[in-house]
Amino acid sequence: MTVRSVSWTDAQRVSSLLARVTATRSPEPAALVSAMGAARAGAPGKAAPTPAKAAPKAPKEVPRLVQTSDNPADRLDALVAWTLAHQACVGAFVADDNGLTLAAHGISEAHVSLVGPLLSALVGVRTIPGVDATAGALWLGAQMMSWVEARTTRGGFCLGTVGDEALSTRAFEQLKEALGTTVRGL
Amino acid sequence: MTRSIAFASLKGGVGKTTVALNCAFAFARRGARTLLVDTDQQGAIGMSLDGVGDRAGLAANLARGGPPLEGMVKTRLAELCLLPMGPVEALDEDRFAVNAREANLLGRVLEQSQRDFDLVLFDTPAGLGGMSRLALEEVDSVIAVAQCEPLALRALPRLLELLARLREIGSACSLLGVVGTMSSFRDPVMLASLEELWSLYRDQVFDTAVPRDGTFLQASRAGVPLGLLSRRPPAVSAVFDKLVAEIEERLGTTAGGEDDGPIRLVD
Repeated sequence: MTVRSVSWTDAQRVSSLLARVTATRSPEPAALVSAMGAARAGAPGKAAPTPAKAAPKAPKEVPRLVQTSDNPADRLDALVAWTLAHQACVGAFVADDNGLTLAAHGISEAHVSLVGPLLSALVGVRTIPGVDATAGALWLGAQMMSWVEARTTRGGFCLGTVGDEALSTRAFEQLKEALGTTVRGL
Repeated sequence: MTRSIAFASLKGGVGKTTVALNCAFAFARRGARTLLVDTDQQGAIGMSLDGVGDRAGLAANLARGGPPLEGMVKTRLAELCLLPMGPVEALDEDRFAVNAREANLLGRVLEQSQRDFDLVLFDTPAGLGGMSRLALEEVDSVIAVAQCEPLALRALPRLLELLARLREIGSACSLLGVVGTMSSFRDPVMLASLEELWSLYRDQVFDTAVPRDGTFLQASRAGVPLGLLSRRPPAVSAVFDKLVAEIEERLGTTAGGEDDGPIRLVD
């Protein structure tokens, strides 16, 4: 049984709404209290002390993909949209293990036609002991094609990206998790 | 410049008044001259605070056509003032928001607050029409209050839709953030709701969530903000200190981000 989300809310719809209702926040601080009038004229206007040591910059937090629809097409579209929004790529696609592209955005026909042969080649790689072929990357001229795989009782699925740079290990993990979330229960 | 923030939610009972009241108290404790305005015809602020419920306020000002800040209540904190709703004539309730719009009531409240306040907070009624919409049309920012439970989460996009539409027709109000309320890590549904709130609304969600805690009921019974429940404030009141620090950061009124680190006691 597919567990439905709590909010029944489509993540893409929320993203679209948020883009329409949020303002760009100014990086320049303006003191709320020091802007006060005569009543506070005597208050010390000293600037906040400088931190002794800047905290290390945390890696950008990527939200987990939440699937709110039971419709397979909607789930795949949401996965592609999430990938484009949160990973360093210009295109993304989902294919089954026969190489049939199920959803795609921002990738060329050439890339689409490459998916089938690529996955076929990986079948042979999987049989080699000690090799994890559930994720990989390939330089194609000036672009990098990366992919992760997930296996279900209905077969395998592949989520791929095309971009100008290699994905980090963390990004691969995030893609694997998002793909797993999407195909679970399909 | 005086900043204005509305606390809003389509769904009722999510904790708007509790959050607005305790944030106002925390802002004032931090030195910001704060006016808390009750725009709820039920007088939610008046019902929450001992000694305020019977006072005339916004409703009387509208009925009499008097100065918009007449009836403003000074509090124990010099930096905090309240403008309660006051009793609304039962037969006037239907037309209250219409009359308030015609009289530009909230716009005049903001105009008159410019000199004496750094911050004007509006507690709005549940729903997205009437006084809530009026407040959203007037303020700079809105904080969406979302109880960590399914119905409140499902209602949240409606608030964003209204806000988007208002911005399309010229409102300057933007979403400052979403605050989760009545959260609990013990209840799986509440936990799932909070996780989904974070997942869907990402960096719009304040890191500080207001927990479900019996202390809120005690404060409600006593008719005081959490910070005044006892001489030694309950631990949960610190939640609002954290929340207003985040709000200030989003307003751009404090340094944050990469500079947010340890501060030396001795220079």
